[in-house]
Amino acid sequence: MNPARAIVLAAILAVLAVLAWLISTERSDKTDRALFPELTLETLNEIDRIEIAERGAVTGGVYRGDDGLWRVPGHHDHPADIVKIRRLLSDLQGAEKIEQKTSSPEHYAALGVAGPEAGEGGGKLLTLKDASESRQLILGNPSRQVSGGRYVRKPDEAESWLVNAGFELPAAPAEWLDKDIVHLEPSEVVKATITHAGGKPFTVARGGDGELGIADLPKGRVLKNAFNLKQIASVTDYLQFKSVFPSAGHDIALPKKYITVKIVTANELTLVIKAYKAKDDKTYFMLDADGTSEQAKELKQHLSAWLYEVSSTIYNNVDKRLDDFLKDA
Amino acid sequence: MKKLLKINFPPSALLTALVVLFFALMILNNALLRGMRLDLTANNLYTLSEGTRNILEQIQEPINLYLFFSERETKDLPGLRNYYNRVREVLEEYSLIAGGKLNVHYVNPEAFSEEEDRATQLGLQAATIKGGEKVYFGIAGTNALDTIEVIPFIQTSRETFLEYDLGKLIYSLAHVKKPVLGLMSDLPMYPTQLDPATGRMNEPWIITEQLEQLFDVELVFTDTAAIAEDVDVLMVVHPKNLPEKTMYAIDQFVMRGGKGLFFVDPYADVDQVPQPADTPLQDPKAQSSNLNRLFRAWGFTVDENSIIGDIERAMPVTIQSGQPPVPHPAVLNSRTSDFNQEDVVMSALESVNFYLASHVRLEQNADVELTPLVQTSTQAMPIPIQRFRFIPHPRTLLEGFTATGERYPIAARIQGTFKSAFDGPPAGEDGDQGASDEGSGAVGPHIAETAQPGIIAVIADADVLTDRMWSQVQRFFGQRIVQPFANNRDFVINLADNLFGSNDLIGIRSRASYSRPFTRVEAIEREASQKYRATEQSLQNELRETETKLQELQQERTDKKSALLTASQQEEIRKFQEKKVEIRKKLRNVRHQLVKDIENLGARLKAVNIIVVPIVVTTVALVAGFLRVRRRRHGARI
Repeated sequence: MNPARAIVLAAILAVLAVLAWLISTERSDKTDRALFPELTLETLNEIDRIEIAERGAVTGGVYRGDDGLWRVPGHHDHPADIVKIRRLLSDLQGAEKIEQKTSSPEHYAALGVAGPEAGEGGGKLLTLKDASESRQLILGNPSRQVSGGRYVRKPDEAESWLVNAGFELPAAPAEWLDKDIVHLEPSEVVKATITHAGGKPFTVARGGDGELGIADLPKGRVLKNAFNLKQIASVTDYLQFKSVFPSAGHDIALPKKYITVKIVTANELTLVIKAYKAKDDKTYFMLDADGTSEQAKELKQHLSAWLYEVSSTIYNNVDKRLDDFLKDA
Repeated sequence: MKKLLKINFPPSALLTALVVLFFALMILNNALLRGMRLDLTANNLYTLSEGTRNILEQIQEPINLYLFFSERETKDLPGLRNYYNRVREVLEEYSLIAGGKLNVHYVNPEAFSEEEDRATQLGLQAATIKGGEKVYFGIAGTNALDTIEVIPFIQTSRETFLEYDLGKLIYSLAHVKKPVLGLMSDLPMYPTQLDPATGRMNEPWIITEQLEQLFDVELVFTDTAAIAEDVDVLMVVHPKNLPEKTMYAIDQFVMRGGKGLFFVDPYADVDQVPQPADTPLQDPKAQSSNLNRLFRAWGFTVDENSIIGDIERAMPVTIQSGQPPVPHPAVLNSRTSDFNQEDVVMSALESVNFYLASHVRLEQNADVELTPLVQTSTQAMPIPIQRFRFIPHPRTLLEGFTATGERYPIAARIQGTFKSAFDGPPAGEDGDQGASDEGSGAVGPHIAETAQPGIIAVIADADVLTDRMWSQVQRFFGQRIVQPFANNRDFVINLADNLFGSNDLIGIRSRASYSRPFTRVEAIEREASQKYRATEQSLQNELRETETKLQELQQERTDKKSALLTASQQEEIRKFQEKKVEIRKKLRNVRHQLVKDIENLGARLKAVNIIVVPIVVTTVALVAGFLRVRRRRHGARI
């Protein structure tokens, strides 16, 4: 072959090869793996409402109030558990599509992505709202194929997907609530005074050695067991409620006989608990805080707004009399 | 363009152009000619069956296949690596044909990696090699739903069935609905049936339990007038005295393309029919089943007048307690050599036991094809069924036994166009002739023959399904523990599974091995080996004699009072020891020489391939070039 011909042919083929390569690159799958590519950290912070619907009805969710706190509607707008909200939004933002699944409506129910109107196999419809936009996702069944994976589908799309996120949702609307009432380390408690209605108060106080003891121990009496005193100091250690009501407007009357527990901490925070058992045999705490610190002021504002139902175990820890701790010397 | 061609480019430009030309051709080849194939191998190893193509082209929703292969751990396993490359090539071709509906992913599951965790989670099995390292070589497939199908480890021994195994995997993923097996039988196979022997509800046969695990089993009554549309395979076991309407229903089921699996038996031991007290003789016909009324029309029959005896496959049976077992020529232990090894149903089985079975034969001028699955040996003959009336001693069955030399099919697959055994629906119960289709209960109008080639399987024995023919069952805290001693269960499951697999899957043929050995080299190696083996054998014999003699000498005690050997005895022993050393040295030399000769052969072949062929090609090119130059000069002179 003429050298010139070879060179010209090479040039032509080179151009064709580049075109072929460009076409094959375009043909290659460029599916964006992110489930919600538009969800960035910035846009996540703009979301102010999360709703969950099943079988055509809204069954749970949270919203962000004007004060910036996330709250649970249907539960007196009590603050929500921010950790659960953060985890859900983080899962959504980081979720990636692993495999495309069925686009056939007759098979949606098998994956649980038929939609909330469908009943069985409908999954849960998750709606994220901000000021301008609403994003929806049908959460289907967990996947056997990928550990922690789940089947999902956007309602306006036919394709369903296996994604690499589990999207843990609270089982019941009440599970969105932030159930922490207060947390005071037992070691911070300096003294706790328990007064039963019409009775004589007694005080559990920390002595110079740092150990808890009964203040003004009656003569001829000694402690049965020092451990029991720690239970009183531990009442406010990660104290959680079972259910919550606004302090104004509830119909759970404060009975005449109730227990007052006054807890004082090393940083001069005073926590007053009114503990009582109502007619329905459930046990409740009303709390108030006092002190000069910022912590005291925040606690006062928050605690005084609520009445808490607590477990009977916690109630029993404060339903104590002096004789319960002492024996004859 | 003409001006361009007249430019005098420098030599370096030509070289660059050639390199660009090479890469451009490679890229264009990959981009444009990727799917093109020209299979020049013997047995068309790289050409897919039409069945496979159909399965791939009919995939509706995306299927993902994950091929796991341990790269690092297999670097010293060339056989396995070659097979992996073969599997990979096949999957790439599948992916092209499926047009984007089949996605293949290649995963290297290194130890303690997420990929290894995924392999375990999906159900793959690792093989442990030397050093305790794990090797993964399996496929997991997922479909558009939550289904996972797995080949836990791709066995090289199943190379000939690679296309079938992959096709079945993909077919199962593409068809998510559990296939429906209609089971028709009056035998106590099912737990809802009363065991006549005990009068209590029976436990299901183990095979029935297995079928229920794999398929959606629906009971079909033996007096039904129609087989439901959703039944994919109809399994009829020991059909006795079926009413006309049921025979018609079975006939029409096959005519409309349904797959039949028939177990008919001239003398089913499991069918314990009480004999009247005044009838001393056992009537074999009372325990007989057949559907020759239908089979004959379809092109074959099952012999209902004889039972196959096979003296080579006779199983020992205990006739009397305390007496040793006696081979029974009609109780057969069929083995690998009796199986159709090219059929995927039979290839992995080792033995299947039959009890008083008959055989299947094609009718003359039948328009169907009979493929034997299990046959007798050549030492077999049909024994008239009347000889079994007296529950004869096995020895009496051998009287007059003359093997015909023929191999009789006990189980067979029949394919082709089946013609109905009926002209129309049978008369209704009210006796009206030509009752309407609605009156007969038939599903749809009468079908005279199959529109597409039909497929059925026939086994001339019903006892093959019973637990005692293939397993020992023990009780452990109320659970049945099954210990199989034959592959009867696998045989039945494979058959049913195969029939479910659509005509496309059944049509995928087994392949010849894709291994292409150098037969000439192997022949040369064999000749060399034989030459040295003779010498080696002679030396081995001499060595053995010497060692024997040595032993004798060392144990000789002419003087019984003395433990020591005499000087002459010691000298003789020393000579034999030296001889032994010499012989072993010669043996080593013989073996070294053999290995050396084979290595030299290998070296010669390599030299030919690496040096001689290029020299020849270059020489031819040079000669051609020289001749062309000479022609040009000659032309210039003129």
